[in-house]
Amino acid sequence: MADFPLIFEKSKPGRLGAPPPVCDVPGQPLTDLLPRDLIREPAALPELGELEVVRHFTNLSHRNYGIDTGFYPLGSCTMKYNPRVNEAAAANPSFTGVHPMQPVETVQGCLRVVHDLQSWMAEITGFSTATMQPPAGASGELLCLLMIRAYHESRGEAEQRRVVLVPDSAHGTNPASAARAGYRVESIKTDAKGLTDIEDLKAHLSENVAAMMLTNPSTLGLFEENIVEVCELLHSCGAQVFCDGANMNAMVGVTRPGDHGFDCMHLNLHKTFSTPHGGGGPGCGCVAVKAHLEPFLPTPVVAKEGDAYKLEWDRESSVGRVHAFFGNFLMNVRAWAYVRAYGREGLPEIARHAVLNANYVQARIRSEFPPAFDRHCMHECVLTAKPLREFGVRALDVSKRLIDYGFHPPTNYFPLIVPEALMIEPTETETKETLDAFCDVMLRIAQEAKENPEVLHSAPHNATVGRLDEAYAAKTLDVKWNRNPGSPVEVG
Amino acid sequence: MRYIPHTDADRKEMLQTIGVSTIDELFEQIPGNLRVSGPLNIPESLDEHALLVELRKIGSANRSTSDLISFLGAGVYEHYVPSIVMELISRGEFLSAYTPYQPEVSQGYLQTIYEFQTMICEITGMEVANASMYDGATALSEAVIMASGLKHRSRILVAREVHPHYVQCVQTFARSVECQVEIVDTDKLVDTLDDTTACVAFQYPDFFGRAFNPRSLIDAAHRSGALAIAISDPVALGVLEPPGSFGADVVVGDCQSLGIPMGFGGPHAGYFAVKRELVRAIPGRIVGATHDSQGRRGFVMTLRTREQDIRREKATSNICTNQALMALCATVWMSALGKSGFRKVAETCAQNAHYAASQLCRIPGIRLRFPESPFVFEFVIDCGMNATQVRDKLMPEGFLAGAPLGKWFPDLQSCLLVAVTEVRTRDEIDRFVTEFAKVVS
Repeated sequence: MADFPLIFEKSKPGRLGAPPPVCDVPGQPLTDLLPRDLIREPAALPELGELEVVRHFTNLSHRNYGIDTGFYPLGSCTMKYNPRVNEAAAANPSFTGVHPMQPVETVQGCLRVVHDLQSWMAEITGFSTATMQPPAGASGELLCLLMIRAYHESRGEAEQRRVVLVPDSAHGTNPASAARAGYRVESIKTDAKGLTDIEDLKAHLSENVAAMMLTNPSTLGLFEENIVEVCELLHSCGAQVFCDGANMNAMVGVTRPGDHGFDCMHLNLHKTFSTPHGGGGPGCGCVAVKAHLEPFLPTPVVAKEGDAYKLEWDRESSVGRVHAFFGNFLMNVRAWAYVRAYGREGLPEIARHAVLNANYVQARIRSEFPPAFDRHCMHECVLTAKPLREFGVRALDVSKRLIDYGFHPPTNYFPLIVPEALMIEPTETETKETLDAFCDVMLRIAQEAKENPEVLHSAPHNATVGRLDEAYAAKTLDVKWNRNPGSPVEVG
Repeated sequence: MRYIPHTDADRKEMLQTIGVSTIDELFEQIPGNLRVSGPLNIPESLDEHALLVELRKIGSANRSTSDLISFLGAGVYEHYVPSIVMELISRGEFLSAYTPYQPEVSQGYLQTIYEFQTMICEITGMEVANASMYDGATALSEAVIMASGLKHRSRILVAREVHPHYVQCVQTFARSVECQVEIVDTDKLVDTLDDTTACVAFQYPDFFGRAFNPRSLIDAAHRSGALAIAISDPVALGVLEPPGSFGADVVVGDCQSLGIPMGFGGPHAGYFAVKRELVRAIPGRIVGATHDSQGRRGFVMTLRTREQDIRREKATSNICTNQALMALCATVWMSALGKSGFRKVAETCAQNAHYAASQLCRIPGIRLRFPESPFVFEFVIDCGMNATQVRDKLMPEGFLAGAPLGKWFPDLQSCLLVAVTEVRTRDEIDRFVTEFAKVVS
């Protein structure tokens, strides 16, 4: 079968696409408007008719799997249904057609959405206020660390506090964000129950510690039972505690990190609050803080005075700006719609059913894929494919075989401390029938692993492509289309 | 319950399989005193119809391009968006997908990113582009931090004529990695460069819309061993010789002008393009072409060992996501307009802006602030009076007149940054000029 063509390969010189608006002012030669040495030849964008463009991207969409296609149990990513009413709400021209530098009186609707969400997110998480400015989760993490650093600076302790503690089960973004905030990272062990090893934590505590970054529930899908003690230990040595809110879907309306003792947290609106992942963004990384960190919030701060919303710029302790404007605002509109669709009565049902679904999957397939830690899980279960190793089968093989059966694979090999990890997060929006179909397939794959492991090694068999040669990609670095193809150049 | 499909019978059977009798038992790990006891202080639920009515009501408290004729740009522009763009990017396979970690089920997205990378390289005149970043300001911040790491130098020079919000972001992020950011007039940059300078970042055309030949600045940066980083609006590069042609090492900017809604400032998408020799140092995702065992072409995320989920604290950046959906939006927009449409958009912007500038300058007391500087579609006019007042008086007449510059540049209190894109008609420009004359008279 021929390769699926690139849009450049469908291009034909002289073919016109969508017609831009007609110029109706008196035209002048371009050379009268700009110096000759600054005028370029037209950029070589593809030349296709409108229908061909529609077909190209429609057919590409058929080569992509989304939640709308089928079950997407990708652990730590909360791939829940993205309600279409959210899209309808965000497509409103009264929101899409607003320029971020309009006078504040003319953007009261936008500011209302931001301010409502700030209040609701603070309420849901148990903090005193929130900002919607960070455009993604990693950006929210980094912002929290910058605020913590500013807090220590305000107390004259920034020079001594240079260490951030991160559990060995943490997502790689945590240590990367800590490094970006100028901190040295020290790793804290996980104990036999899958929780933070209190003794190891104590051994790392000192007046050099600026903060600990903790995901709760942890990436093992377990709630940190000793969270109050952990926070107290850190506070007793003057450190701050950041909650990575990636797993908030287990807690909405049930328990609040602010009440656990955390000083600040970030949320991924694109996980818990259903804004679409969009193939890897845009996200939205709301950050919630306790009162003592409020002075350090990024500017401008969206505040309310009487019935009017305003932007506060003059906050001398602010860490500054973390986004060109107000963050990924249209994602706020979607999250606003999501919170109001559930309302106060409905929100706890999100966490309750997410946890129910995860435990159901764990219970149904644990005979072949035992849990890394043998207890009830929260919103996701971390299982291991280790028993299949004796048949030469690895977690990745199981995942690739799932594709043949029409499911998106779970997260593999994460957390790093679990061998052959399969991290499954079903979310609350899946039916029992879907979960059963998935579990049946998982059990069937375990059988295949024992009887015919080759069928797993060579999977997927009926995807648009088979397993791809990633080493070749890294070696040749063919990262843009070349009009005059020759052999790809290797770079050092 | 909305979006939760369980029936009572489902819940009962599932609990039975798990071996508990209530959902509450599954939360036994959470100490009782940490459970939420009463209802949250959140409004009650709304059905879909009521929800949309409520949000429309909230939206009506805004003014927008639905009822305003805009001459406001300053980094965010109203451009024509062919109808197919939103249609295509709203397809669920794109909208509801995650990052393409499983390439066999993500070829659609991976290929669009490869196409995006190619188009950005073509427009900027560079050799490698990543899969996009949060926004232009983030892209710039990442670029200067990359330069500092590569050069082992901590001095960052940023031209004063760079978007003030971008400068603010650079200041926020560069501080924590021990970089010193110095803000310098563009025409003094060459003399300020020295052998402790990691990079020089300038906007082209600059924040005031001025186009200039950056070659001598770029050459000077290279003589000092610094990287030259250009910030460019991609539509301006529809007619302007791209920074890559002048030897820039890095070109960054925002893709909003490539078909992405203004949306009160986001989501947009930053782009990040470099010379090939820098590819291993860049932040963000990169998609590369490869093949499967049957020789079929396919695409994967490549050079993954730079990234945070593998490299942890030694990663080139903490950023995980790109703005894939918005990069797709830009890709479809560029594809829909195509080579000639894209050029036409840029040329019409230039024609409209020059017409508007000349008409405005016919008003007594109104002049171009930088009459010697060529521009593409954005220019600064001196109103001869407080520019914020001019803007505010034009608002009731239905015009977003531009960005008053006094807030960032105290010596420009009477100046307004005006953008005129291809969507403005001669009639709208003429009416704007008429009302403008009344306001300043």
